[in-house]
Amino acid sequence: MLEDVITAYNEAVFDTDRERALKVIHDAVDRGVSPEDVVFKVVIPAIEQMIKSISESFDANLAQHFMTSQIAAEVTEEMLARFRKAPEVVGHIVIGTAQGDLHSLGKRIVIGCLKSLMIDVTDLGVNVPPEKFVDEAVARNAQVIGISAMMVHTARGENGCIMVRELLRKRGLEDRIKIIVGGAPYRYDLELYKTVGADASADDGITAGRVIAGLIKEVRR
Amino acid sequence: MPVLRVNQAGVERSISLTPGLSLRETLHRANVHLRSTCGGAGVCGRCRVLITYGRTNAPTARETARISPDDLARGVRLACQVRPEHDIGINTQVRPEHDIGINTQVRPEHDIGINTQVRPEHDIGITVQADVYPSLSGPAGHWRSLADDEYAPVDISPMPDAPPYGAAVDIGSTQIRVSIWDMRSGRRIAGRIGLNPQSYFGADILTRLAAAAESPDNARLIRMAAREAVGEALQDMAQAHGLNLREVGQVVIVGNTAMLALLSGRNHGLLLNPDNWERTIDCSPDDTPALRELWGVAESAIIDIVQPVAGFVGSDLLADIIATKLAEGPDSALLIDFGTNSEIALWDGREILVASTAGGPAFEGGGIGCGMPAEPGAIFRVEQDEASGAFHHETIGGGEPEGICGSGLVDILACLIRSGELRENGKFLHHHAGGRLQIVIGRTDMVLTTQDIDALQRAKAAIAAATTRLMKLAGMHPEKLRRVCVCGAFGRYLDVRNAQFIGLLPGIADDTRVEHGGNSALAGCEALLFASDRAAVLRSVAGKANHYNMSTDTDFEELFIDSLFLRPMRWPM
Ligand code: B12
Ligand code: FES
Repeated sequence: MLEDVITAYNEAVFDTDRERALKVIHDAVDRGVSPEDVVFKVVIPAIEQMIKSISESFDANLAQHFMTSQIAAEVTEEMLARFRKAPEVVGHIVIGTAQGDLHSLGKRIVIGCLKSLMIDVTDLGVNVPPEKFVDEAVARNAQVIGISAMMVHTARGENGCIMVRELLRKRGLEDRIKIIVGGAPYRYDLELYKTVGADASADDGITAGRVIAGLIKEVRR
Repeated sequence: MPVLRVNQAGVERSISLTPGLSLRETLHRANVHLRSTCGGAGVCGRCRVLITYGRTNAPTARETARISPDDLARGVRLACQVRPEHDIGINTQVRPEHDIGINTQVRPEHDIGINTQVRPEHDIGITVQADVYPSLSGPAGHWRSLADDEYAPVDISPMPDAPPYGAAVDIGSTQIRVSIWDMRSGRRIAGRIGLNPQSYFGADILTRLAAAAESPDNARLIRMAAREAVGEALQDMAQAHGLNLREVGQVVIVGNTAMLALLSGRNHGLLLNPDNWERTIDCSPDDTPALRELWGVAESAIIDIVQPVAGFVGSDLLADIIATKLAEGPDSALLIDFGTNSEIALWDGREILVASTAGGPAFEGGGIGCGMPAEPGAIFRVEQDEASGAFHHETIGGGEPEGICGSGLVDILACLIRSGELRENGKFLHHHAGGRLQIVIGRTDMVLTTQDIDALQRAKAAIAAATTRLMKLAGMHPEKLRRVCVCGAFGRYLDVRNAQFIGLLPGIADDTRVEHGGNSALAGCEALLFASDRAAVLRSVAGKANHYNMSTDTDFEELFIDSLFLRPMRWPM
């Protein structure tokens, strides 16, 4: 039965059909599939499936990314409330858009994916000053700072990632906190993340989940 | 001094090389302007040239990331990454001759063949011969005359007491339009359109603003590029019509905020800070005498840069509103000026709600492999015969197609969705096949990829979301709209039914008037040139206008996502 649920859910997600995806999940729960199985055997593998199809064909578009992440986040949130015991979180990330940048969508997609991958997320909002990224990461014991920037000047600028790196260095936090950046300018120029001093970047929210999980492991080690 | 030999469409030229300069810079100085959207950062991949002989620096990491190993081996390089020190020869046409026209996949009975097969050697998806801006590729002939049907209607009364001539200028991010008038008889003598040479520094306004902020030297180059372009257009008309520019007593200029700030050379840095995006930016030049001298107009000439509304909403939108008389009657009206940064105005009978929305240059052909602006050579209309499935197309100017402009792209999307080939979410039905549409027309071979469609979806979503948001703020149902004005080069050819079908324009009542404004910002500027009290006219429009900032609007985001889908706008949202 789980097989059918997985197939039906994957198809709905690929078709960006939110209503159908939610219906598949609700029917499954009604028929006795456990909330744990829904998250770990249906939702997470679907995200991974998406990663695979993206890396093979560079072919998923914004509508799909968005729907995958929102549906996944929605289902996960709903199921978590019904979990018998709280699941173990992988780690913690604080995320926001760079100072001067109000483009909030990329961040939102990434957050959706992270939530369903059991990564704790603190959303710092948009137009976040570099000091705030660092202060919040410290206050919340986060292993990773995520910075989203959709415009060339906020991605490259002095008050974005470059300054966050500088602050981490000054405060001796570089071993404890990693930086990941994302957004159109970084997809455009694959080397840019290094130029601005980030540890990693990811082209889409789904890949971001995997890369961030990797960064968290690195810090925890 | 080492020499660069350029073969451009079969014509050879020699240019001396200044060591240290990139090939792109060298070519630019010699008036060979390669396409670019990244301003020479090595990331857009559009400045490809073919090195035919000579040694240069090895390909950079940016080049290996963007050029296939086969093409690299063939000598294809990014001009912005090559810094030649020795004699070198290049060809601006990257595709080998024999690639043109030979295609085993042409389906003769169809004008456009749909092929979802990946063809590795066509991965670039750039139109043949379209690598160089045709209208910018030589010192002469930058400027094309505006055809009679390209002017939007304008109401003016002659000014018998004015100095003999006046000029109206609309500085767009992509194109500049200039017209010259006989003020005393109220007759338009000539008009010109040409590409904004600032494109060299980047296709969108932000890349240009950021480039200007980099150094005072850059800011000067960017400022002078636009100033000189206007001067050339004036010169060109003066020569063609035997005018003495010294008799030009007035120049009125409209444009978006970024263009005006860059032109005046003042305050453009402010636009990089969102704190200023709801304010009005002062774009008046403080060196008017220098402008008069550069343009050769009367020493006493009035040079009036019409000030922008607020934020990025410029005076080009005010000019649109004036030209279309948008807010002069009780009839509710929607105006969209399509561009990289589209501007929208909604008149509800009491207030003009205005917003700008940066969807990117997709509808102007930017960032789309087979795209081009609505200029001669562009396919502007595509229709599919329902019975036979065959496609028909029309090209601006009627010649061999060079690319597809925005309205043609809208038609293609609508056709593909109607036939079921493409789904509402922007995916080809046969997604497993790599998802690319091959378009074969005569000898021209183009591809439309899923990435291209994604860019069009985003551009469409940004415009649709802002339109819907303003309608909601005004509490207006689209069926209540009496008029819809579509402005900009793209609007001129737009098929309204197709635009509604993919959700770019709202569904409106059958008897709603749809007006294709064309170059209405220029027309509004012309009306301002003849206004006896310009400030009063502007005040009456600006006084009714309220700017809504989409960047801080929380509903916008939901609307944007919903609008990514290629389907008619939903109401209520
Ligand atoms: C929607 C949009 C807007 C909306 C934003 C609404 C909102 N709440 O976000 C509005 C209309 C308000 C807007 C305003 C402006 N915009 Co705008 N906008 C866009 C548009 C159409 C889409 C951008 C977007 O949201 N993409 C969606 C994201 C999700 O896509 P993505 O990059 O694929 O995201 C993935 C990855 O990047 C990654 N990712 C993203 N973030 C992160 C973070 C981390 C940590 C990781 C790991 C990964 C990651 O995962 C994502 C999901 O898969 C683009 C043009 C385009 N066609 O793309 C212009 C664009 C980004 N905007 C632009 C501009 C210029 C502006 C304005 C200055 C214009 C103006 N007139 O005011 C303002 C600035 C506002 C501001 N201060 O930020 C330019 C930027 C130009 C440049 N070269 O820098 C663009 C490119 C358009 C253009 N070509 O001119 N814009
Ligand atoms: S790659 Fe964009 S100009 Fe060279």
